[in-house]
Amino acid sequence: MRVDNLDQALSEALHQEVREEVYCIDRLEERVVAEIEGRIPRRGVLDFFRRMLAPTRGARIGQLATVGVTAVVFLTLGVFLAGRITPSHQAILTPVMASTTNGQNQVLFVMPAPGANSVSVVGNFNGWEATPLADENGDGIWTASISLPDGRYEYAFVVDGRWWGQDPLADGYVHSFGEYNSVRYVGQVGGGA
Amino acid sequence: MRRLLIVLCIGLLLSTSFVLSAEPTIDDVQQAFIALTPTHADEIMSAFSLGFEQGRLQVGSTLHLVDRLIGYEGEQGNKEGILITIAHALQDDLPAAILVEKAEEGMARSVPLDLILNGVKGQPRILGLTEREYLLSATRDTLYSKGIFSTPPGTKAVAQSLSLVRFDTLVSEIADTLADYVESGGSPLEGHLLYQQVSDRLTDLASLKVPIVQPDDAQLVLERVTPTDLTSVVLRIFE
Repeated sequence: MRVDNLDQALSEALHQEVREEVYCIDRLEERVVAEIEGRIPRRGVLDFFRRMLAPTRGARIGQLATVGVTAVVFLTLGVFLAGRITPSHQAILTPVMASTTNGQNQVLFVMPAPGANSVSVVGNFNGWEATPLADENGDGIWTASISLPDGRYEYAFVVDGRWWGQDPLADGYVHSFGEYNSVRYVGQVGGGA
Repeated sequence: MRRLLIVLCIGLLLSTSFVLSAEPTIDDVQQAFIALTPTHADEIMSAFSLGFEQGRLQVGSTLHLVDRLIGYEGEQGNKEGILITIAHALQDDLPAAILVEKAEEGMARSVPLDLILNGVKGQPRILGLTEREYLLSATRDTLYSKGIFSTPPGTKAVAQSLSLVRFDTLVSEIADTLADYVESGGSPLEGHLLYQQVSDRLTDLASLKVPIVQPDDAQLVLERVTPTDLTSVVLRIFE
């Protein structure tokens, strides 16, 4: 046999062999999968947790990923709910704080006074008699919403009996009896308060 | 059912009479004056009655002031002095509500009555009710001199005349601005600063959704009153 014909002869021999054994590879993939499935036990809930607690590297990565995703979900949910339930810090410091109904403006007075026992606001809108502020959620931010007609108002906060006339949210300040009074214009065009 | 209706009607009548009786009356104010100063009660009541008629004072706020004065620690002469100063302002045809307000604020701040009435001539300068009455009077006179008047109720309006409420508002706000300026340590000789303060106040009040000062009134004052006029007004309390 010439060397040139050797490759061809080998090729034919292999093809012949394959043709004869073709039944062996018929539906081979399906049979392999079926075999594997038959050997793998079914996983229950306990198996899931066992795998979660398994000290293998892959399991640890799985744990971290699960904890991370859960934290992100809860954090996002918390921020969303917090924004809806309580005013954000930015909202507290926003000077537009009045809504108008029937010529009256609901004016919000805000005084940060952590640890204070009592906070009130006195001004020329209430005859300089104390109107109490409340800190219902105990975060140290005391608030009161007072209905006022349009106008210019002078006022001060009284924190545990001490007058505080420099409200950061005021439109201005004046001196009165040697102390400060805050001034707020209620009913400004283009502004809430 | 009928008994229930009768009971409801009686309850309604009782609650209505209770509410009506809770409203302060001029008689209540008079009784309070008598309790505070029997000797001057008639004289003070006469002036305050005029204020009630003109709408310059409210019965409720006046009674609140007198009750507060009665319970406030201080000399009887100063208590009477505060009421007499307000009465004098009313007799002089001035908007006295701002004096009532200042007296209330002073007492709320536990300021001695003598200081509320007469102020302090040091630094910082604190204006008493007598000086504030001066400012009201000088401001009113300045507006008159610039041809800005109020029209007495029932009389025919003349050019540049404003209703009493509008005129009073101008006088009160300008005088209060000048007082704020002095109490913050400003010099009366800086007329342009005084003018700027007055301009800011009137403009802010005129630009509210429901203007406290009518924009035309603010413009009229700012066109006619000069920085020198305001300096002259303030200098009167330094004399």
